[in-house]
Amino acid sequence: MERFPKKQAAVIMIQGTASHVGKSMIATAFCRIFTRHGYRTAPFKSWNMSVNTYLTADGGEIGVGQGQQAEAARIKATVEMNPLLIKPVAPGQVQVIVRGRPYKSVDTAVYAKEKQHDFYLQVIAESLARLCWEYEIVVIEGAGSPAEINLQEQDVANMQTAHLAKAPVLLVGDFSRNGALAGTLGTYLLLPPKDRALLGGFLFNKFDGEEAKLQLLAKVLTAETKLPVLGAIPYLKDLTLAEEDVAKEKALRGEEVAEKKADSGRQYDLLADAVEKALEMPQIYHLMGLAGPRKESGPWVQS
Amino acid sequence: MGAVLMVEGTSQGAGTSLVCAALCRYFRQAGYSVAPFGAKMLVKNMWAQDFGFLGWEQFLQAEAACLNPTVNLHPVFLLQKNHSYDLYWQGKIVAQVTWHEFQHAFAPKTLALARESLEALRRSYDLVIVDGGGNPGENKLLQQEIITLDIKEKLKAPTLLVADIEWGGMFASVMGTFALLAEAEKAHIGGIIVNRFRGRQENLLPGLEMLEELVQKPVLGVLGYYHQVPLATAPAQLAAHKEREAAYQLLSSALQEQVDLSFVMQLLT
Repeated sequence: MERFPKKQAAVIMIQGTASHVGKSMIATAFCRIFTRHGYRTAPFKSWNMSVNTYLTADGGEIGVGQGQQAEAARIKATVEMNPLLIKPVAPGQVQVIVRGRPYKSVDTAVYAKEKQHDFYLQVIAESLARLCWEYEIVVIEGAGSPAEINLQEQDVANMQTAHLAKAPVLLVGDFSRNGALAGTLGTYLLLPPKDRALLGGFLFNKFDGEEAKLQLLAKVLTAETKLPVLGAIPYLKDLTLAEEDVAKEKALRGEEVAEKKADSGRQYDLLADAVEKALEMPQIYHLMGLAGPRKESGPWVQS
Repeated sequence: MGAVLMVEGTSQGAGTSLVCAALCRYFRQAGYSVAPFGAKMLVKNMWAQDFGFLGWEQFLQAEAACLNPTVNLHPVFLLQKNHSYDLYWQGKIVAQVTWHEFQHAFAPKTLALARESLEALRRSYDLVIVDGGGNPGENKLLQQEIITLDIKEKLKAPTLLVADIEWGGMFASVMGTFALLAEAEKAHIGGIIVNRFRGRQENLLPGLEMLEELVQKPVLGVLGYYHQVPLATAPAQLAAHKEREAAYQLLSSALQEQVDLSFVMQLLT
C-alpha cells in the first residue's frame, strides 16, 4: 500500500463523535480557510454513504459534501475526492459507486458482510495519493463515529484512512446536547492506542457561548486525554439554511438577493470567517507540519 | 413508601421521556399505581392544566400512567427565553431569572420543593418514574440538573441509562459517561437501554456484548425508532386522544418485547 510519492501534501482529518455533529461543515470551512491562506487545497472523504450526490465535470458521481468543499476550495470537484460512495437506491439495496462510476448494486446485508476490504483500501490509497500529489493541503473528512466497536474492521472511512494518509485527526463533539464530554472522552477511550496516537485535539461544534461550561468540560477532557481542545464553533446555519434565508429576503430586497446568489462564494467566506475565528489556527497548522498562512488572513467578509 | 426509578440519557434528547412514558404504561398495566416525576430543569414545551403548567413530557407520561396530572408531577422548572429563564413554581410563573440568579436565589428552595413533591408522590403511588435531565457523567461537573443530582444522591435510586444510537457514536457516549462517574455513582446504574436503533439487531449484538464487558453493566434491551408515535411532536400538534392511547400501548408492547423488564423489576425490590 506504500505507493505515496515522496512529495506529500500536508493533511488534516476531521472526525466526529457521531453523524450530524458538523464534520462536513467544518471540513468545508477548512477548505476555504486554507485556500484563502494561499495553499492549493482539496477535500477528501474516502467513503461516503449518501443519497445526495454531486456530478463532477466529467460526469462522475460523488457525495454532495465533497462537491461543496471543492467549491469552497475554489477548485473543480473530481471523483478522487470521494472515491467510494454507497448510495441507498431502494429499501435494502445499495449502489456501490467507485471513483464516480457505478460499480455494482447489492443487498445491504450482502454489502455489510462482503470482504472487499483490500480492494476498497486500494481505491482509497490511490485517490488519496493523486490528491496529495496535486495539492498542497488535503482536508479529509471521516464518516459517522470512529468508535463503532461492532464495525471497527469494516470502517475504512475513519482511522484506516487516517493511517493511510498519516493524518492528524481532530475529533468533533456536539456541544448542544449535554453529552459532548462523554462523547469525545468515550471515543478516545474506545480507540486502540495506534489510533489514539493520531488524535491531535478536539473541537466542539454548536457551542452555545457559555464560556464557563466550555472551560470546565475542556479541562476535564484535556486532563483525561492529554489532548487540547482547539476550538468551540458557535451554532452556524449551514450553507443550505443560508440559501433558505436568501429566499426569505426575496420579498424585501429582490435585487440584492440576485447579487448574493451570483456570489455564492460569500457563504463559504462567512462560514470560514466564523470557523477561523473560533479555532486555534496556529496549533492546527503545527499539527499539519506547516508554519502558518502563506498570506495574510481575513476577515474576508465585513459583518 | 413507593419505589423510585430514575431514567437518564447519554445526552439531551436521548429519549428518556419516551422511555418513561413506556415504563409508566407498562407498570400501570402490570397492576401498580405509577406516577411520573419531571426532574429536568430546562423545559422546551409546557402544557396547561387547571393548576397551571407542567412539562409537555410529564403531561404525556401522566396519561400513560392513567392519572390526572397534578402539581407534584413537575413542581419546578425553567423555560428558556433567549438569555434568561421563566421560573415556574408549582405550575405558575414566579420570576424571570438568569442562570446565575436562579442558582443563588432559588436553588435551595427548588430542592426543598422537589423533595416534598416527590415524597408526596411516593406516599400515594407504588412507583415513581423520574425523567432525569442531562448526561449523568457531566451533571456533577456542570451542576445544572440539580434536582436529578439531588434525587440520586439522597435516594440512591436505581437508574436506567438511555443511550441514543440514531446518529451513531452510542458506544462512545456510554463509555464516556461511565468514565466520568465515581464508583458509587456507577453502582446505582442498573443497566442500559439502547434507543432509536434502525438496523439489524444481529449486527449490533457483538458490539453490545463488548460494551457490557467494558462498562460492566447489562444492556437491557434495544428499542427501535418510534417516529410513528405522535408524542415527540410539539404541543401545538397534539394528536387525538385515541391516537395517544394507541401510542402508549405500542410503547408498552415494545418495552415488553425488547427490554428485560424482570431485571428492571429486580432493581426496584
